[in-house]
Amino acid sequence: MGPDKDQAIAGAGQCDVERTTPFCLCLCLVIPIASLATWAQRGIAGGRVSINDLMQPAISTATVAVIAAVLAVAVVMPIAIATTRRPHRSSDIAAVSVIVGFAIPGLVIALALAVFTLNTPVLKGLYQTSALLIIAYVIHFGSQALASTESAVRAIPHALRESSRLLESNPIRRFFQVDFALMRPGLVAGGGLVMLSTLKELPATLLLSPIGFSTLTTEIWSSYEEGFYAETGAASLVLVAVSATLTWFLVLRRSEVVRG
Amino acid sequence: MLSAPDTFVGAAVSLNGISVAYATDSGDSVVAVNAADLNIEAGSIVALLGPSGCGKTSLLRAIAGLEDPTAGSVSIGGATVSSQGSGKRHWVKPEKRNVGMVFQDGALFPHLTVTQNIVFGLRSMRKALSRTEVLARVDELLDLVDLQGFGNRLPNTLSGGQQQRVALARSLAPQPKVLLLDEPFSALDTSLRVQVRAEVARIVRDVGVTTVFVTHDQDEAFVLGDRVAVMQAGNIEQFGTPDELYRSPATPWVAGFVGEANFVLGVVTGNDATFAATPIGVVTIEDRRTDPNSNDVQVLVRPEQVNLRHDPTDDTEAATIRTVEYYGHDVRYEVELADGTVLAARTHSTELYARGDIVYPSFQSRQRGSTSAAFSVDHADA
Repeated sequence: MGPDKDQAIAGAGQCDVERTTPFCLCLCLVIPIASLATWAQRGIAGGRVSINDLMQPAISTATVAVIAAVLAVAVVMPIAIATTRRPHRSSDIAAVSVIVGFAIPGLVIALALAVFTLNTPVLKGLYQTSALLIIAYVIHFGSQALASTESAVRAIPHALRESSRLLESNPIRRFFQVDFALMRPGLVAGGGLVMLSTLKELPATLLLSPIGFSTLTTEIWSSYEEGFYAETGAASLVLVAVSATLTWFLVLRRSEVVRG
Repeated sequence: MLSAPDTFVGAAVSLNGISVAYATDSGDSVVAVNAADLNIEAGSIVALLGPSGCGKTSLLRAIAGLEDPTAGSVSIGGATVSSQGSGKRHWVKPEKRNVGMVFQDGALFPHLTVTQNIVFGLRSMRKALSRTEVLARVDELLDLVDLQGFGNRLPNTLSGGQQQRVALARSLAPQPKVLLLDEPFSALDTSLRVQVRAEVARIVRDVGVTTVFVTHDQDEAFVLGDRVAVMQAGNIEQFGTPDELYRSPATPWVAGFVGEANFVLGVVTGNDATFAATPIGVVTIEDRRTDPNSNDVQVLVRPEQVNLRHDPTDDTEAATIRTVEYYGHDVRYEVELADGTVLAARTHSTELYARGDIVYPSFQSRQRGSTSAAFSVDHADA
């Protein structure tokens, strides 16, 4: 195959990408958002949808998502440190368990937790509480924080840790002053991914939510079930806005920082 | 340049039979340091010199407590900080040993400013010092390393040499008894390296801290070190002053590692066996490390001990100039004797020879160091 032919193929590929990108953007972003916006606008214009009604589900969604993200990072951090710095069979098993949590459907995790708490007298009080819902999120999405946390741990040079050890005798202070401070960007990224997934989670949320507790996804689901497409459109738009903001913060802004 | 040095007393360091081994992935054990003994005087500067992989960094890390020796003991200021072997295991954590360490790349905390990095080093003294005293001490240390006004800078805005000086200030902040430097100048370019190492030498001498540093650069070891431990394959081959190492190396390998070395075959002569007849004349043997029953020896002759003449003398052989390297202050020649032996010679540049010239190399007997060391002939391959 000659160089001219190679260039022709590469040029054709580039041309295809240029043509298909607007099509993909239309299909994945513009059309769905336009449809949702149309429904939402009709609802707001007709007085059937109030933005105030979406405030409580939005706040609940953000609250559980933030707590789940922080907790997931806190849970996977010791595992990431162990697998990276002192790999051992037990740390490997812990890491695999975290990954398995992501492989299992959220519905199954929710069912397992529901059955487990209902059949364990001391844990019965946990059933249908926000705490159990957050535990389900952590089990299901913990692995999303694991990879970035492992990278963050690996990125700390060994000499820095040894240096801090020779200078600071308190291991906790040493950890927060050096290790944690240097890992922070990776931990934020890992926590952000958990948050993003938690915002969109539905099956476990439907099953484990406390009575009267609604998130944006449960709101979208219930209004759709009842045929209130205007409410569905408005709630979906809020969810898209929150996810987009988070995606921008986690992905686009970080890559801009990296590029300088 | 340097002012108000903060002096404190360094401690003696004693290593007895220290061995360090690492487990490999295949489950085997690789010995990095093999039963090393070393006694370092308080306040002195000692270089651990050797090729890559000889165990010098492992030995340094064993002093710091960053490696757990498999045998032997380490004492700092007379107190045992690590002891392994037949008796009960004794182990003092690195952070409790009162040693400072400067790593190859400085290992400054990138998220902290220069001042914060140095304050981190002062943490052990934090309870004893007020905030004003801490800041005054930071200023003192910045002054010591000639970085006044750099306190608010982040490490990534400093040059390599400046980073190393901050690392030095940080490691000196808690007033360690022993300062350890792990190839601290190797990441710097040549001109900066000479400048920074001169400054570091001046600072550690002013401060009076016992200093042990690792290097594979013979010049660096000789310039900075009061004494030098030459290591090879986990063993300390010789420990002595630079002059002792250069003039009386313990083995042909040490002779070759601490400078360029020629080995010429000779026959011991004289009643007290202090002379050897060689193709470049009679050499005075000061340090005989051979079998006393054998008269055949190989004699160490440094290039600057080889004199080149146009005219023959009674006891010298003709040789041909093979290479000429002109350095300005001197010229290095490689000359080939009739039997194929190649000798390196360094002479003043006042008398120049060209490739192919016939010369008569002889041993310089009238300058300081006009004696040499002799080794058994069977060491020739070492």
